Amino acid sequence: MYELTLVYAFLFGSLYLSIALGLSVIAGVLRIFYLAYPILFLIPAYGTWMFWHDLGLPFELSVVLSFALVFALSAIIYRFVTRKFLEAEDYMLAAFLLTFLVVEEIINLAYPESTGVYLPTLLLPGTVDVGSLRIPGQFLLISAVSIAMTILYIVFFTKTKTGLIMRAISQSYSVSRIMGINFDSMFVLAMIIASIPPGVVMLLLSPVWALNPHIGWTLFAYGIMVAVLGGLGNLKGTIMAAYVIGSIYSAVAFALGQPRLSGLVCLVIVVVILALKPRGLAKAETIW
Amino acid sequence: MSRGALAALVVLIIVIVGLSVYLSIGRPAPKLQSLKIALLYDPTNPVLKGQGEAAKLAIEEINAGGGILGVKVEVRTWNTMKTTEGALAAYREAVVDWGAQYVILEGVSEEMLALMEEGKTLYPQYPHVLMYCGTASEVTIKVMENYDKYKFVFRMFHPDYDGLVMWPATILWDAKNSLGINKIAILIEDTAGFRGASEGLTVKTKYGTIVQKPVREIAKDMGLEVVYESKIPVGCKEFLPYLEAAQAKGAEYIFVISSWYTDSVTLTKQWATSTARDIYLVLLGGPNQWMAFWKMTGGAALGVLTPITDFENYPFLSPYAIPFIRKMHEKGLSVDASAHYYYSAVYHIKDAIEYVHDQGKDPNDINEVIKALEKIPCREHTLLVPGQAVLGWKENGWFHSYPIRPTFLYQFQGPNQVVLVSSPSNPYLRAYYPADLLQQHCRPELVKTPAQLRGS
Repeated sequence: MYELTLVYAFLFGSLYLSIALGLSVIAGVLRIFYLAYPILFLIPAYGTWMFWHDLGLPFELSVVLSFALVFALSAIIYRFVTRKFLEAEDYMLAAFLLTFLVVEEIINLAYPESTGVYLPTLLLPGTVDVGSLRIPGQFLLISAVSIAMTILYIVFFTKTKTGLIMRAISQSYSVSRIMGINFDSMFVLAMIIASIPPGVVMLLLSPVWALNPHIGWTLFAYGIMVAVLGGLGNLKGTIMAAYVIGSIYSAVAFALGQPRLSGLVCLVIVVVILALKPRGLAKAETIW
Repeated sequence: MSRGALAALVVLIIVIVGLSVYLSIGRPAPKLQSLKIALLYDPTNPVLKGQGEAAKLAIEEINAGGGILGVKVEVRTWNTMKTTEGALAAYREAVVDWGAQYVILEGVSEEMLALMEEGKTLYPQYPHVLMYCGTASEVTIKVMENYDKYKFVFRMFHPDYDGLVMWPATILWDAKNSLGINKIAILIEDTAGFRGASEGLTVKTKYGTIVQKPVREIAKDMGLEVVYESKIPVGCKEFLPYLEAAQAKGAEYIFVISSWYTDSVTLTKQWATSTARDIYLVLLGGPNQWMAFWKMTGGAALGVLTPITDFENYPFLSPYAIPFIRKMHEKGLSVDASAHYYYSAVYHIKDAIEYVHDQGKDPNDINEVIKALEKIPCREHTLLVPGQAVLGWKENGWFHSYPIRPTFLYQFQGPNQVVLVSSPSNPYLRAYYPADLLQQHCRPELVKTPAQLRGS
């Protein structure tokens, strides 16, 4: 049972990491709490369905086009919401939330749950034998993709010029402005690259989670828990938080044999940690 | 007695008898003035929308046939936004401002219980009937315990303490005797409506004691060994720990006591990719009752066992069922068991009003209609046989609820391909359905293990 606990700590932790990555990047670079984040799960899934099922385009092309749609929407949201209300956070949060609700309602109108939206993204069906254990293949794939995306982010933020600029913005907004950084292009780029992990994880999750117009809320709740515990906007903290929560969830579910209590125990421990460390697990002020 | 007095007495008797005859026969029965039905639900929810549309369909049909006693039914819908506050506001507006005489709620038991409390204060000034198709036992128990306050409340469904005994018993009998199962895992949705399924229930009422056995006891009575049992929280997305535990304990059959609050789509998808995928998965309520469940799970439902009431080849006893399902399908809507009940509820109202009129009483008098609803069966019920579509039986805690009907179990074996795998020998089914009908439709020999289906 302990082997199973460890394996599922890894699987759940990786899943939570992939859900929270984008939220942390936006919070780290733009220093905003992106309440429109659930859109980034919905558009790739329903966009792909629309292009593929309704418009009859090839599936792979539909995926590409749905991501293009997300990028365009992210740029539009930046142009008309984020930039406009950057100095008025309460208006900005309300505008983000309303934007999400409008998108969610449009999707619910066009594709209610009974439509049966389904994406053929089950790439590793059945189980995979790892030693004496059998692991659900698709969850293993999600974990691998999650880790790969995280490594790419780390490389991007530590090894590329654009990544360094974003870290500079993350470290000091005002000093970066004096240095002549083009904020608009950096912010739009940050929102675009932050939209990739939620889209990818949603496509890979759809064979193992129900796909419905309200799924954004559930995933957002996971994302908030991880990102806040990690120290909103810090990647190291997000990675730590994801695996801490995954480990607690798995330990309660498997080692203690109480899956009914897993969610509650996770929340209580997150609250306790935040009470002791209000700024989350990572002490750093920047994205990395 | 003098002749004059005798003549006067005869005249008096003639006058009294004549007057009585005139009053009882000669006077025409009062006419129905108007008939307003309010439907309270959240139309953005596909389940509730389907149920609301089912009720509307019945009203459309009745109006197309000339209405009730020649009066067209007026219908208005209110969006409850799936909240208790929304349902309460809608209810007040429907009854007080619009003057609805019949209110049908589609929502959760918490909403219904709140409406009942509001309704008991509204009723004396605004007499009306409040109907609902949910399960929570409190709804019926309140009516039984405090009839004068809650007599306007009808649960147009069976009580949970009845359904969650009969349905598991019917299904588990087949598990043991038809599938040859010995070890089962039980997962129970952690909601108020299913508490009795987990912990059992004993309630003393003025009409007798209601006893509900926990599902594990029902399973044991069938000779099944319960190797794992757990509650699953509403909103759960991580079903793998439950499935792993069931598999590790050697379960051959996972019985999920679910409703719409269990994400049975996610559960099914995770089951199909988990180590438990060779174990039979049996779901009770939820979207698994729809044929669309296959699409919703992307085919992960292959091998899942579930009741389905959305299927035109169901062995319906009622001639009204298949035309109803076809009309709903033409509207692009799926039909769960509740949709059948909401549709039939409108017809039960019609039958009751017409009965009151036929008795020479005032069909506008809600008290008379309540008495009629308690007395006469629904003739057009799509799921219940006419003799059973009764709301007035006091035994078994059925008062102001319908008695239970045993359910059939289907297996998804492909796209739009389901097989009725209940056994025709099942004693619970035999007690309700004619033997020849069971022999004609039930095909337990066609059931396959999930592994066989994946391999075929």
